[in-house]
Amino acid sequence: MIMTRFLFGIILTLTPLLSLAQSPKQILQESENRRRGVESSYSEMTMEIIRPDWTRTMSLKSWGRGDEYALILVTAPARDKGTATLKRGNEVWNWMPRIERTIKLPPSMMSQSWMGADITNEDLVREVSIVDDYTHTMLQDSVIEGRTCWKIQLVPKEGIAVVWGKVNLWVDQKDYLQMRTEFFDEDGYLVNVMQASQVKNMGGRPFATRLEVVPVEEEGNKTILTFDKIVFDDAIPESFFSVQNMKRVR
Amino acid sequence: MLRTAIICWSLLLLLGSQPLQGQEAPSRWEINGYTKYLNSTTFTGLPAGALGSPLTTNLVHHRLNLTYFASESWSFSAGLRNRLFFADGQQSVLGAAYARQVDQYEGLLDLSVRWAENDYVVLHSLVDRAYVSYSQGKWDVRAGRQRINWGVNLVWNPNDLFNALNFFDFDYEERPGNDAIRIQYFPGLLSRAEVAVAPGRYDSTTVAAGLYRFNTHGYDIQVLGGYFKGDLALGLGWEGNLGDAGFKGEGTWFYALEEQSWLPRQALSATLSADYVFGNGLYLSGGVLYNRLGDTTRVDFSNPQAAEGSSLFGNSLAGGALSAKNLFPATWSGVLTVSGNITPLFAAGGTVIYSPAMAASPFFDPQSQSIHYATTRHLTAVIPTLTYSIRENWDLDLIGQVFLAEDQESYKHLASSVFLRLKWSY
Repeated sequence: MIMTRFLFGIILTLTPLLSLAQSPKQILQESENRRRGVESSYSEMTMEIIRPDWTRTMSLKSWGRGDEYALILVTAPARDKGTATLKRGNEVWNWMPRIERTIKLPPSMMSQSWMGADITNEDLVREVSIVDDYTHTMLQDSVIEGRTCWKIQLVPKEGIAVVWGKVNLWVDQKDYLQMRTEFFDEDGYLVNVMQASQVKNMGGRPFATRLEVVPVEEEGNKTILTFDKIVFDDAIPESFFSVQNMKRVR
Repeated sequence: MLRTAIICWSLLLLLGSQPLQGQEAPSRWEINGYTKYLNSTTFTGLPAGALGSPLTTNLVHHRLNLTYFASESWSFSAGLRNRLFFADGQQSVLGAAYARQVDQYEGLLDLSVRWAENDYVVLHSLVDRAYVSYSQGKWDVRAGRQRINWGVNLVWNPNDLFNALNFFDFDYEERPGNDAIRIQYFPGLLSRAEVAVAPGRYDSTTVAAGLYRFNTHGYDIQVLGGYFKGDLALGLGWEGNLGDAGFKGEGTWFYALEEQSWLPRQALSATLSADYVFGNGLYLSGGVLYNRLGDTTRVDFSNPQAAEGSSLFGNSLAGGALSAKNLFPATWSGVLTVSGNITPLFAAGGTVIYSPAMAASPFFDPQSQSIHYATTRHLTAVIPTLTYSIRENWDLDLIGQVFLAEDQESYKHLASSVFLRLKWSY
């Protein structure tokens, strides 16, 4: 139950990682188009939460279709294995295999994180449009992980409810991957850095298989997402996202 | 025969569990479980040093769940529960009587073994899951010992006809299985129709009922009805939201097919609850239970053997065990739960259950040195919990259960327990 918010964040990160085009707005528009173009995806991933004196690891399988449908299965640790979460539109259910029961989650439950992971829903779910709700400025190109990137600054428009005061985004000019994201608070201080690396051909396209999120102020803390497998556009029907299937997936 | 089977099975799993973890396609075998150590100490309202107070029991508890996927459609599942109780024989509840109580099971098949039952050690093995599952298209069919969980709420489940949860029995969240046949049909993505039959040795232990669950306007709604241990039962339950808060309710009406002089013919068990998570992760949940049979129930807090919450409310309710028809020994009860993380690895919580009035219960009065009956008022159960994640799959819990009530004029401590639990999941 506690990991739900985090899980939805993850599934929605998969799709917006690709982008292309020229002006900053066009690049981001293209990114959004791409994101919608990706009909469905399946992935297997591992998340590591690293703290100065402890680490915890969780492994997941996830199926997604657009923004509306998601099914996530925890495959490790043993304690949580088999727990599944289904999202259909605004409704969310949890399957708890230990007690063999489906629990419908209140919307406020979505605001939970797992073991204090550094990735929050606001970073990932992006209910706010990065195209329409921000003003964009193209900054100087720079090289990230050996790839030449456009650097785009995003500032939220007046009256838009976002946690961040400013976001810097580096988009790879060759494969349109989002290689680095810097999140600033409203006072202009850098809070989180999300860095992509280990680009591999996965799911038929280049894909950054490792994402590292570092909270700048907290030394020794980071959260690492590693993608072990991704399949894009392997048309997953809407009917896959059912309560019956939530109990069946393995 | 069963003894041999359990030994062989355990050995097989011990030797065979490692290579079974496949990487690619899901393995045909799925194995998981846990080993727990639980230390429980129970204090009653009896004078210090009196019979069995405080009382300490140790429990090593091992659970193994095993599923074999024979094909896309067919699978076989089993669950084994081994418990080793041990205590200092001088101040111990252990012994043959305790072992028989541990060994009680409301099923058709006897799938348990008492390996040892003396004042120092009780060792008990139980197969509490053993079923065949067939899934095809919109159909799921299961036969054998299985859990059928129809509950909606977190503390009280009037709709859970087959296996009502005892909130105080926190160490057995899986609950015993029912020896049953269950047929589920899923007409839509969010709807389900099912029929389940759990024949008992007697009419008074047989349950046969159907349920239909559907989703509308953001609500999951279920209606159910059937035969419940000599009663006709009709129920309704829902899960939905009020704003950002969860809103759940469930109720079941029971009508005794044969009237019994000591119990009302009709009974209603109903509960409402709401829960909410604040931005900082603080979880808040509140609920109310109405139990028509609550005032027919006597709870004996003076008996130290029964004073642990799980047995207090599990074994002393009218008609034997706790059931959907009689979930708590009071007509009206309220529950409030608060929980949250102090650090990412360290969680704390507390639950308070309050009942304005209970039935007359036996009490030990230290002044007159005698047992007398009195109506209990303001029963309050306080359940603090602390949970610490030691490392991956290792959890440490400290749980308290404190029962207080007003007896005649004074508010007094009835009984309380402290539990320390170490759990390793695999």
